[in-house]
Amino acid sequence: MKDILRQLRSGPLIDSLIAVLLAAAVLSIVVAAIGHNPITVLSLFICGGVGDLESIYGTLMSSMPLIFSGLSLALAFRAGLFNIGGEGQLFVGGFAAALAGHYLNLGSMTVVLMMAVAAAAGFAWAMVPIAIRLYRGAHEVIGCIMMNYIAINLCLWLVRGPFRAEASTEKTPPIQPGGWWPTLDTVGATDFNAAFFISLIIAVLVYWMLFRLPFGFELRAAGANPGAAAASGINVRSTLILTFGLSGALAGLGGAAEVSGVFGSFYSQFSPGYGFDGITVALLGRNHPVGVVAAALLFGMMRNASKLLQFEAEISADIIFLFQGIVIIALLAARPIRRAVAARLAGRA
Amino acid sequence: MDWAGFIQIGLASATPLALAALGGLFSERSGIVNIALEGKMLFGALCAVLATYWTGDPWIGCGLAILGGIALATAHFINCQLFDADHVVSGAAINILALGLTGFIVFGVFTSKSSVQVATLPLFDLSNVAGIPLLGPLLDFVFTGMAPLFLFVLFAAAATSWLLRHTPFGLRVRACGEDPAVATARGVNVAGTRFLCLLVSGALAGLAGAQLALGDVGFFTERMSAGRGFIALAAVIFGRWRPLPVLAACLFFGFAEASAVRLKLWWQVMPDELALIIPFALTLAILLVSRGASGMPLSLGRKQEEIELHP
Amino acid sequence: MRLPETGLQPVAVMTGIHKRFGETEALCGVDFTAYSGSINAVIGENGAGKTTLMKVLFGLLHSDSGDVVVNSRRIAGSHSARRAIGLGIGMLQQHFSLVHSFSSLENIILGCEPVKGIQIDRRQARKKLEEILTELGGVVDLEKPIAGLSVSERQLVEIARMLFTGAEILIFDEPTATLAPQEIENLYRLLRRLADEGKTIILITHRLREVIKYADFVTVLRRGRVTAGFERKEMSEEHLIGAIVPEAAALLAKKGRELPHVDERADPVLELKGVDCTDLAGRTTLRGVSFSLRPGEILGIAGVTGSGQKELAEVVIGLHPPLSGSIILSGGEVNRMNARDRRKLGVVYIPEDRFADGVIPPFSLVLNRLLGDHRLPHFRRRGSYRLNLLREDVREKIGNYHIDAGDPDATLTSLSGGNQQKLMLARELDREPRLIVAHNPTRGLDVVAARRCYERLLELASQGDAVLLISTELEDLLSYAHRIAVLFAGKLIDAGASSELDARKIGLLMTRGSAA
Repeated sequence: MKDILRQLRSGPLIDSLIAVLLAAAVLSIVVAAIGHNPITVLSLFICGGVGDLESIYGTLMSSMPLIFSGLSLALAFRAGLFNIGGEGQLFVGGFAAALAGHYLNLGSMTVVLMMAVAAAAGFAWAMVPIAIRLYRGAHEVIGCIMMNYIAINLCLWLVRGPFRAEASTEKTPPIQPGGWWPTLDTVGATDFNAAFFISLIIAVLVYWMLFRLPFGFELRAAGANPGAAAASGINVRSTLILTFGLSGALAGLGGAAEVSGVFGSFYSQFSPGYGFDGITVALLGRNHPVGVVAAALLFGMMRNASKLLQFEAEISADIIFLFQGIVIIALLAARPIRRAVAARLAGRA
Repeated sequence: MDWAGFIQIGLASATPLALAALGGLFSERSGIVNIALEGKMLFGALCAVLATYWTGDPWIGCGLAILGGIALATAHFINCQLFDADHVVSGAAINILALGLTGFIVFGVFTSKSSVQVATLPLFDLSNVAGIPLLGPLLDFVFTGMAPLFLFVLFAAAATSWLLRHTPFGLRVRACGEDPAVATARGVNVAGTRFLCLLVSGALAGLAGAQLALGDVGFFTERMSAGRGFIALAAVIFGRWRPLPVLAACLFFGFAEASAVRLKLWWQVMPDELALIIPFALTLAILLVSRGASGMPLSLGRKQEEIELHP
Repeated sequence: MRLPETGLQPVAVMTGIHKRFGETEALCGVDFTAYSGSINAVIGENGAGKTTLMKVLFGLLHSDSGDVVVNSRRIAGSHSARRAIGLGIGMLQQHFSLVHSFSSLENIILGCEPVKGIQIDRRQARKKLEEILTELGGVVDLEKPIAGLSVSERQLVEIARMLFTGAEILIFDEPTATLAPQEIENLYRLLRRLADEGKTIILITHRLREVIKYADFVTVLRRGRVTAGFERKEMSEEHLIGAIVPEAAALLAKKGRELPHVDERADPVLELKGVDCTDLAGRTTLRGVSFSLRPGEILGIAGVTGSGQKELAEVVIGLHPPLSGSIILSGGEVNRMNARDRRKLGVVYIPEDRFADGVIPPFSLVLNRLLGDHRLPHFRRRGSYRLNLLREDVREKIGNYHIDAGDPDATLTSLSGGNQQKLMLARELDREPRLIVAHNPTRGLDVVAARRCYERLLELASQGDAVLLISTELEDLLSYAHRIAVLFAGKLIDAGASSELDARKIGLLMTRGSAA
């Protein structure tokens, strides 16, 4: 409790709050500039997000991949690494899970197998960028972006070609019944699937690893000061490799969750950019699992409501990216501004 | 084998890469990491198309593209220099911002994910000159069909190389990138120098977008930069942050892309998606094989906070 | 402070300077005057505000209030390094301000490049520089990158740079910290010459002996305030120490511990045999280094900065494998053993640069204490860390090591530099080590804290621990080490028992590699 109060009083939480409010304000101006009433747009957002039980389920299910993606980035950020390759890892993870779920049948354990396969695929996909970073010195972002384009195009080709389920769709064949997480409830057109709770469990596991396990301490130390970490006996290189791999695995799990909880197969349009959403989710959530879940819920709500927005108000879903860009910049601005204000106040004291 | 056509495609592909890469080089030599080349290119492309749509003149399109690139570059500068943010995070934010802005605007103006067709940039046409003995046919052969911006790129690369090595401004830019604390102690205005560099960087990257949209196709479509900004960044690394080698790297990538197009024409069965992979896989392969990011400005990406604590 | 009788001009006058950094008051109403044609020294403990004061004069920092008058012209609030250079002020900072990849020429002209049209006029620059260098009496290859120059050569480049910009007021921040005794003498001879030519020399240092020998005026700073000012004839070590740290006088007068006795026949704790080391670029950093260290022994390693000290520490710790030769800990060869396993064998490390290798600034005191011990079962219970136990331990250390801190969960950066250093010392030295590798362990510590640090090392030595003490402070090595060896360009030369050595002998080894 004392920790939570301290958190509230100190910067991080306030920064995130201010960033969101600021971005909302700027967006209102943009929206007004093209002739829409910001209040109407805001109410559409809230309505589409949490207006009825169906929307709430939709929001939670939309948050699910963001939780995975956010955790993936948050973990990497803690080690001082930028895993911008989440989108690609998500694709290969989802694709691998869909194939495993269709061709292998382990009864009700199929879904667990799918998650494992997806995690492995994501882990492996992340190895290339981190190897380039550690052994060739080029920033992991470039390697990640390359792997993203390769992954996306590769999966698209596979799903449109050899692994296409039927002639007119872009999906892989459906997974076995055991590959689905159980559906908890259905309202209207939305299934609320247990996969959402799996994401929460994973968030708890990540929290425990990060703050309670020695490996988590080493990861954070390596991210905060690799020199001091190495001098204290930590093997920084292997820590970074493992962390980046886990980060990729988490992203891959997000893909699997979509397959096991929403679509039942790999579908070419299954990600509107979840991998990139994860960047803002992680930053807004201050790279902490609790913050990540909270931020994921916010953006899940936005993603869910964006369909309504596009339909009713003819505003492109890309407005979410606009919001994200402003949020990140506001977060970057928050710290120095807060510091300057604090210094001014201290000087006056 | 149509060599002339092949060369033309290669140079046309290389031009936006080279423009963006030179822009990235300017920024990074002064110490600011620039992964936002992609976003600036994309936004520049949209600005170019919009301006051409409104005025009918593609050169005005280039002008607006330059301004668009500068606007984003200014945001990047403010983040990195004034807010002392992580350069890579700021770059990612700008890319996301550009993605959102362009998608939003194109949908708002054209109610679709693509714009309408607009006028393209003119190419050199020296066929009249062919009449002049000796020099005529040569000039015609070399220059006809060439994009003017390619010529500009050659000039820009040479100018950048000379600037960095032989002018006081160039020395100061390099000092800002190697050790900004020392530069400050010498009376160099680090923030001002970096700002100028980012302006140039934004202008060039925006121009790259203009070339991309107006150079051949003449329209804008969502996410049309398709990763070229990152390939340009990779070219900066391969070229070890030196203008002429970076230009060479971009030419290499340009011709690689032309080869992929050729391959596709020749081997019709090859799926589109796999052909798209080629430039990225190639970049990755070179990154894996090359000996390391040497030549990198020492203080590239270092935050002021860190420099203060640990000179 | 009384005005000098010899009619020297006050060239730089600072009055009532206040400077605050967040909660800390770095300077509190400081008055300082520098006279032309003299060596004006500013002395005081680490953290007293000396560098801050000079940065205000040089325009790198703005004071919150107070006046700065240079050559009878008042400097308004828009001071900057650029303006300072224009006013004829030059500053040689503690960590040299040179760009590593630039040549000497480029380093010197940076910021004031002579031009022909829009191009840099290298020829003119070279001509002017060659004149300056001849006057200074030194030779430097102007085109070679700085990275290839020795410390004293770099210093020469820096001085040439100040003269190139036309500086009449030259500020030197701890110029002798990294020099050998003979090089120190040369430097002061040069400073004296420059002063005799009418230049104003301002010297920041913590080396009292040098001040007494060479300075004309001394201003003493203590915790941001001026406590005394002396002229040449009034100076003595007691006066100066008394002004710097009044309570230290009594403590320092008390004789310290004796060096513990070393059993010559005991098996060595650490042995190095013919160790060669190279860096990532392939340059040889250590050549055939051999020595042995017995339990309870303190071996001092002296040497000009950059002679391989850090590499020696890292090869012993396990951060860097040797190219050839062997490292033997308690009888077993450990060449391939990593740092973590060597720690388990009882090796602890106090690095020279705590920010790079020792502490994690954004972490709390507790987490910093945990660093290195984070895998010990002792601190874990039921899958989590025993934070309360750690907090208790931190509080205990705060008491034992006189650390000025309150909350163990506070961020490390809330502590002053000296206290951060103390926490790092506490963490390493309380670990019941067998071998202590200490590189400038008293960096950032005031006189009293430094004394306590050495006392603790002596205490541990008397319990049978071995200490490898790498230091640039020759006085400390002579006082606290049994034997001293000198690193010269990667080679280790045994100098012998400290009781038979003096600064001059060690200095010769540092600069020439031989005692002749």
